[in-house]
Amino acid sequence: MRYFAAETFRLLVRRWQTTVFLLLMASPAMTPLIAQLHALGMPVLSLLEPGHFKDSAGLWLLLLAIAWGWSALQAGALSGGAGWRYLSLPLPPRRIRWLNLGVLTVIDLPLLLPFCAAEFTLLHRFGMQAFPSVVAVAALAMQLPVVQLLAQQRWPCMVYCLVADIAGLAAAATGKSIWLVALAVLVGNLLGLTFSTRVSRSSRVRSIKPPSCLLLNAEYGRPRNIAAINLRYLFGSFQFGRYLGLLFWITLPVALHELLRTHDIGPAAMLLILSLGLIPLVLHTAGLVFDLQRLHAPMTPLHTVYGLGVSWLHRVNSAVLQAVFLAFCLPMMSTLLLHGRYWQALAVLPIGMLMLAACIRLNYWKVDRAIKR
Amino acid sequence: MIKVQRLGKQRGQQTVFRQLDFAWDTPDIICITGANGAGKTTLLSMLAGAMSPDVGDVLIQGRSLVDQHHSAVQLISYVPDDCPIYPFITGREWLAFTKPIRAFDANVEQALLSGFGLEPHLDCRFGTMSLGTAKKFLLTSALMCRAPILILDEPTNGLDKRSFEVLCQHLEQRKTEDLIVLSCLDQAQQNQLGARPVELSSLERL
Repeated sequence: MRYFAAETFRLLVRRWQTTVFLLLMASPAMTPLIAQLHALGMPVLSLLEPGHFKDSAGLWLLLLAIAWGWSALQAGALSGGAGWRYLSLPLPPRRIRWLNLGVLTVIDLPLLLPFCAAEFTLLHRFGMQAFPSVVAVAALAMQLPVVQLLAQQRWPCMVYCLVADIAGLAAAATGKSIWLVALAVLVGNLLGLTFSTRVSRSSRVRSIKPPSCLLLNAEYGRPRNIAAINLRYLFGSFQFGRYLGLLFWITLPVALHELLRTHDIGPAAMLLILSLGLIPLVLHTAGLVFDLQRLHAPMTPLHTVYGLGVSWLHRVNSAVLQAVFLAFCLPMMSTLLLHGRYWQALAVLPIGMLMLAACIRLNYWKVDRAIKR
Repeated sequence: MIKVQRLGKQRGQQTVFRQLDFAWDTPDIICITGANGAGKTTLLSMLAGAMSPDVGDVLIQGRSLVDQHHSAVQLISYVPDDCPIYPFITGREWLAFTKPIRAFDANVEQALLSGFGLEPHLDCRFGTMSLGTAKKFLLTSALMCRAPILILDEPTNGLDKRSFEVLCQHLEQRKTEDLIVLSCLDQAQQNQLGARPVELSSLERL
């Protein structure tokens, strides 16, 4: 239990910075805070408005899809992540489910902001008259972690939630009591959870056959074999959630370029904005060091006997991450060079590689300190 | 072949060894015995160079594991008590991974693979193998190496009867040339392996 508490706290500490950063980036400085909150809560409020069933159903499905993607990014946090296997007395499935829901709720804090904003707007505009709507919004918000849990563990049970949601949204669209929406969503949540009592932990670790260049071979040197192990671990099918996060940061400059091109932004500003996309990419790639450390930690004694020391492994891991980073930068570089013709962007790549090397070094330092402790 | 000088190890507040001092100069099969938690695995991993001592040194054919670690470990084959191999690689890949690291004997590899009945499991991933099968792959990778010193921590764990006999035969063939140090809790198995029991506490310098 202490482990779960620590894990949850760590997630909170990690997420608040991202949330504040995104809010600062997204919130226009000239708009009053209340107006910003109204705008933020608008999509959620539109779900409860009568007369637009198709729109509200589509929007709700989109929100659920975003929630699923968000949780897939952090799937390792579920069931205690790697620390789970060290629990000598496993908890009963029902308690694991509630713990997972707790962890997911913490993870979802950024996603729950529009729901909080919607509740604030309702109370601010209509006072206690809006109480049924506040309950309905809370019920919808509660469904995000439930759907995420079901998607991770027993996705067929999501059908109960979705059917109940459709019924609730249809009731709202036809102008029926808003209590019906809240009731339908709550019943859907309960049904979904009731039929998902068994937690299938084994289903999470599936893998497909890797390409032949990543198979270990006696003819390859040791560095190449270790590099293949690293790449297979980092991009194995059981790490699917990671693709989404990486994909977002990799494709962000391309999407930003398309978006900004229509707004007649000057080349210098465009170059600066697109280059800023490098920072999260560097941080994300450098963070993979911890994954590689966790991968090799149990094998360290055996590697030591084989003459593959810790510093040697660190060097190979760093080289792999630098290569991976170069591959991640390709969309950004092609956008900057081919589409934007920003030739100054050629300097971005070496700077990024230097930043990555420094971040990896810092992360290794943290890992070394943790090992020594 | 192995000389241990004033070896000491501490884990947190607990002293595992104060001062181990001994030498094994001739080929033999030595079984380290002792109660659970006495430090058998710690000693074997220090003899193999997998764990470094707090004080003292281990000389492998005159080469120090502390000062000449890289050249000293070339003379050692080691099987740990657990199976830490990457769960997503196959048995075949594991053997391919270890081959370029040490000189190996392809005939011994083939004999062990067929003796242990590992051929059908060559393309299984370690994550899906039973403990016994994974242990047999670890044993094969260690025994096929031409190393004069074999350190085997609980090598009989999870082995079926046939595989145990294959292991006995292999060690019997090697005991005239190589030094084999192992741990095994079962006394009957110790006898079948032809191992000379050495009580861990007797190695401590008084």
